[in-house]
Amino acid sequence: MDLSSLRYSQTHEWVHWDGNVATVGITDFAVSQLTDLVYVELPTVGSEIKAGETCGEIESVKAVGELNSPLDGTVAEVNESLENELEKLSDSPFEAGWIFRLTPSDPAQIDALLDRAAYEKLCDEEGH
Amino acid sequence: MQTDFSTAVGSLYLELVPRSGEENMAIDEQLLERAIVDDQIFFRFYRWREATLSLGHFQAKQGGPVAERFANLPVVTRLSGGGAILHDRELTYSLAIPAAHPLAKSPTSLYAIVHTAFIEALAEQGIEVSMRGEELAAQNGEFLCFLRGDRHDVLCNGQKVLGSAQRRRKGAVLQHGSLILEASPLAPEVQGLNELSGREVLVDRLVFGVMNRLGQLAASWENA
Repeated sequence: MDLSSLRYSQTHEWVHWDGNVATVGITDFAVSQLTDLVYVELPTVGSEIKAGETCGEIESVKAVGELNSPLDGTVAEVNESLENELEKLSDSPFEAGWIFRLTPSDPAQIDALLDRAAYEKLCDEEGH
Repeated sequence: MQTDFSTAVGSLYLELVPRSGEENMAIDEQLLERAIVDDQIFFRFYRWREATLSLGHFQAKQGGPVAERFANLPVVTRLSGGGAILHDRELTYSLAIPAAHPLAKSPTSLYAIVHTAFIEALAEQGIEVSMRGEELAAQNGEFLCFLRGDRHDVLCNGQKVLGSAQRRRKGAVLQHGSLILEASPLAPEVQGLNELSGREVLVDRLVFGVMNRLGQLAASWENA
């Protein structure tokens, strides 16, 4: 995955847009902040979600982090394999560890997300 | 130096009246929401009206130890992760940090900061406790939090007496934790600080010492 082709949210989700469907996951930075992951609660296929709203949860040994949708849209598919292979999130956060796919209701929102340079700056500001 | 916390700290307080588990969990969630909306730090010490079991966010509420050993207790589910805590003869705190605070950017350091405040405040009473410092991940399958192991746990004579867990929402962090003061008759395998240290913890003094240190933390943010 070419990380410069992705867009990013302030809350560390990444988005890959192929012109029809947006694939969403969490970045390696987010995974490192959560440390040892133990459980993921995926969004519901067919549900309508809004940008910035919680659509799933990721639990580590000590913390629960909320998964926020970067875009408005309808959940088209979820990565059910994560439920049994959570290590994909830490081993391959940008590919095998994708979390859900959604059909955006307003694809123009993608342009408002951070590009790679802006996201790297955000991570630098957060001390890494 | 006298510092005005009013703009940085929503509140920093000890609740004198014990509450039900549901009320306590609802207040913790409200503090997290207020940290997000009002951009302020909240810290509370609180107690429980009756012995109550709080479960980690994804722990099963039915079956297992909840149905067997602790069947007669009220049960609540926390927003945070981790194992079950029996809130009886203990002291609970919660801390909500807004997304704009530097500590919300590295949430794991919050465990060390709060636990260090407890360690120093207990040292003022001559009670020696320390952070575990090494991961004992193999124990994380235990139902009860205090039988699990994490490097930030605070130990007294090798036994865990203080543990904390977090919820992260929109970049803000809610952290809460529990200090076991005395072993509960309902879970005697978890010893408290009084038995382990051979001293009786002066709770008011401890609360003051921890708050004083965390107040400085808020002030340093405000002055940054």
